[in-house]
Amino acid sequence: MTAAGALDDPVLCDRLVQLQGQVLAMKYHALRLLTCALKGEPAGVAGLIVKLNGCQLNHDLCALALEAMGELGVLYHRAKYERARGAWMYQYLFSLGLIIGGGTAQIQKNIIGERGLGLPREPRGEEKR
Amino acid sequence: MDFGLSPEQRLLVDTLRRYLEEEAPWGRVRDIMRRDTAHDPLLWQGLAALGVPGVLVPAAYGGSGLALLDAVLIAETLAQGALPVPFLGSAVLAPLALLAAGTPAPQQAWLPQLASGRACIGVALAEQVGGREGAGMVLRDGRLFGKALFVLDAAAADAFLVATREGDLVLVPREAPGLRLTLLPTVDETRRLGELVCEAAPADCLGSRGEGEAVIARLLAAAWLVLAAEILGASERALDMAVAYAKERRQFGRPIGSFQAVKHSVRRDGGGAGAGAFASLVRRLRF
Repeated sequence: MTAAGALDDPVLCDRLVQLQGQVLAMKYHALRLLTCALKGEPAGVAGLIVKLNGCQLNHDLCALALEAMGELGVLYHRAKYERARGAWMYQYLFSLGLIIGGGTAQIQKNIIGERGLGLPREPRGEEKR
Repeated sequence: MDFGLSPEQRLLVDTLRRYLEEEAPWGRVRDIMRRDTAHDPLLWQGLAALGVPGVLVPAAYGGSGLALLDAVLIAETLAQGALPVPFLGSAVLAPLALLAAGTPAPQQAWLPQLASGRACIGVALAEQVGGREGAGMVLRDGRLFGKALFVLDAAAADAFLVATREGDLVLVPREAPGLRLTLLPTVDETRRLGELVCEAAPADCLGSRGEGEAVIARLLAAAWLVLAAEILGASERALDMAVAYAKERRQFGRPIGSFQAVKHSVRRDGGGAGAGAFASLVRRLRF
């Protein structure tokens, strides 16, 4: 299946278009944040979602690329026939690290809920015996 | 009505698991992964004493004469330890092909060697699902021409089982003139896939010309089942390791497993149900 062939697959095509929509949303969201910054206005909850959404989107894009490549996607370590010098596999694995590092996705969601939406903080749990 | 495993199957799995804990802890697995071939003949021959390489080989040829479900259970258990062993090619696909398509001569030449773990056979089937980069082989006057990609268990193979464009199953020795093997490293360092290029390499057709289609279809089905079992086994082990870590790692003043977000990410019951359902599925498939 060539690259053109992958686009002919309705499932892959649908996933690509969905991701494209999310990429555009992030782009315009960033422009909104930039506007707030230039005007000196607080961004509020809007500023808290960038890390969570961006890291996941990065990972999802790489996942789609690997699926579209099929068997060729598993080639690595400069194997013959490796595509894009193994960049997609590298980014797929590295982006998982980014989802975890600098505040995990779960922590990001807590912050969005508590600081962004004003939900009550989680009670500091007592040590379970 | 009993959709579970038999006591013999449970014993096989338990014995194998305990053997692997003793003989193949992570340190040894990593050492084997670092080898060019990612293959340790001593480990494979040690597993022969438990009947692993010969699971599908009839007793007359030195094997255990068991069924595909048993091979699937073994595959799941081997994968729990991420074992770099040529199980899929040499213990499942090659014996199935020899038994289904081969005559007594190649069976006698290969099955006892496969069962004892002294020989390995690489398997070239990927082109039957879809040829990439112009791959595909043809047999002309007893000689193989073309290339095959993603050949399974390529590095330690003494011979290769190749499915050609015309539906023939062919056996070609590694030392055949006109044969060139290039290893293809992948992100999984426990297996060495390969590219096989043949230029008039002398090869033997298993069975009659043009009659391999049905056997090839069975080989593909068996391969997918074994690979699914491997994914299941590896997932089970990963889940166990994650749960164990969540119980001991402390952050923000308590074990991280006490956080609801972590609990919801780690679905214990889902893992257990998967294994049981899978065994029932394989039992119902007729091979």
